[in-house]
Amino acid sequence: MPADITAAIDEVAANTLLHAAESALGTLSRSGNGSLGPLEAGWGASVSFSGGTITLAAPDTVAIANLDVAYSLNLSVGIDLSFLDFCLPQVCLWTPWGDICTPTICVDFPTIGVDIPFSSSAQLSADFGIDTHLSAGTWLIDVVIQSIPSVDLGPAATLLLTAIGAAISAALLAVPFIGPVLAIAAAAITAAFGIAEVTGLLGSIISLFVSGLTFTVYRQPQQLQILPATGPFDPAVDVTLVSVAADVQSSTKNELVVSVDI
Amino acid sequence: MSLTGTHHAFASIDERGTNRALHDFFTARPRYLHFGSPPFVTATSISGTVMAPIPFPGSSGIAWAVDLTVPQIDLFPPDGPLPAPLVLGPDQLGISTEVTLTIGCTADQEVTSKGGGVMPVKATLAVLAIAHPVSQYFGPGVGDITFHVDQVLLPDVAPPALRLVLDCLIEMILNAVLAEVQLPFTVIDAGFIKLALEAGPTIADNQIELWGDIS
Repeated sequence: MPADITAAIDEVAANTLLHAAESALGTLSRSGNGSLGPLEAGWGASVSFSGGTITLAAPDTVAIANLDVAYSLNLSVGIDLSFLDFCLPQVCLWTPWGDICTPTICVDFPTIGVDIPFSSSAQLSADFGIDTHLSAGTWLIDVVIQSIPSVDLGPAATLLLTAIGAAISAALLAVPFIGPVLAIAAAAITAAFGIAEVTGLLGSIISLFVSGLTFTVYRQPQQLQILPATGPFDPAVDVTLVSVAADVQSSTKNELVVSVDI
Repeated sequence: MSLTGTHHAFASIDERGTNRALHDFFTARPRYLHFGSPPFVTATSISGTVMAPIPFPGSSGIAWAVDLTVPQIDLFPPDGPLPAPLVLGPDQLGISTEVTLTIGCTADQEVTSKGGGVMPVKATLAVLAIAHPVSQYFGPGVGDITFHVDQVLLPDVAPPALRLVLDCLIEMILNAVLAEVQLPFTVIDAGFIKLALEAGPTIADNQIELWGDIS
C-alpha cells in the first residue's frame, strides 16, 4: 500500500539538502593523545565538512564525492631534553699559591612543551547509507558513512612536519644554556619521527571524525504540528507521523524518496 | 517515470492521508463543524461557533444550527460512481458529509411568550460535492492548500426546487467551512523539504501532488 505522504528529491536537490545538513552539523571538536614516533602528543582538533557532490544509487546509497574536510589541530608535544644533560668536570690549576679549582658544573635540561597550531583541509569520497529511526519522539533520517575511506593527507602531513620542526626549534631557542647543543637537540628530536609518523597521527585524528560520520537530512517530531494555535478557540493542529521510511528509487532519475504514514 | 519529473522536488499526500489530516484538523478544532445561535450554541468555544439568530420581523429571531460530520475526501479518480449530475474529473475531489440543519421551532407563540422552550426540529441530509484544490504560496516551504466547492448535490432531497435551494445553501456553507481548512505544505511533504512551488496542486492517482525545487 502506498504511503500517505510521499516526498522525493532528485540528485540536484539532494546536493542542496546534504549541503544544508553539513552546515547544520557544524564544527565537531575532540581531543586525545597520540604518538609521534617516540613522543607523546596531546591534541585538540576541530573539523567541519562542506561541499561534495552527491549521487544516489538504489536502493539506499548516498555517495558523496570530494567532501571537503576542514580541520584545525593544536598539537602539544612534551620533549624531555634530559638527554642533553651534561656536566663540566672540576678542573684544577697549580699556582704558587696553591691549586685553583673550578667547581663541577652540571646543566640539567627541562622537559619543554611545544604547542603546534595547524590548519588544513582534505577531501574524501565515500558511500553513505540511509538510517531512518524514531528517537525520543523525533523522526530522523540520517545518512551514515559506511566505511572509513582513504584520505590523502600527504601534502598536509608534510606541512605539519615542517610546522612541528619550526615550533620545536623556536621552543629550543628559549631554553637557557642550549646554545652549544642546539643543533644536536634539534637534529635528535626531529630524527625521532618523520613523515610516516606525522601522517599516522594525522590520519588517526581525522579518522575519529570520519568514522560514523552522520548527516541528518530529516528531523521532525512524531507529533508534527501542521498549524499553530491562532487563538483560544483554535488550538494547534498536529498529525502523528506513524511511520517514516526513506530509500533511493531509480527510474528516469535517481531520487531520494521519503514515505510517511500518518 | 520519476516522481520529480522535470522538477527537483515532489510532494504528495494521498486520499487516506488527506482524510486523516482533515480528521486531525476537525478533531482539534471541532468548532468548524458546529455553528448555531443560542440556545443550540451559546458561546464560541473549541467545540462550536456561536452566531446570531436569523432575524425576522415579529420574532426575537429564529434559532438555528448547522452541524457537519467530518468531510470525507475522494481524490480523482473516483472510488465509485457518483449520482448525476456529479462528475469527478482530473484535478478534482469529491466530498461527502452529512449536514444536520436545526431550527428552534417556536410556532406556538403563546407558549414561547410564557417562557416555553424552543423545540429543536432537525433534518440530517447526505451531502455530495465536487471541489478543486486552491493553493496559496508565500515562499519556500510556506503555503497551503484549501478546497473550493464547485457543485453540491443533496441526493435525498425532493422536490427538485427545494433541493436546488438546499444545494446552494450547503455549497455556501461548505465553501465557508473549507476556506478555514488549510492543508499546509508541511503535511504534504511531512516537513522533509522546504518546497519552492513550481507546479501543482494537481490531483491524480488518488493523491494531491506538488512539484518544485528546494532552497
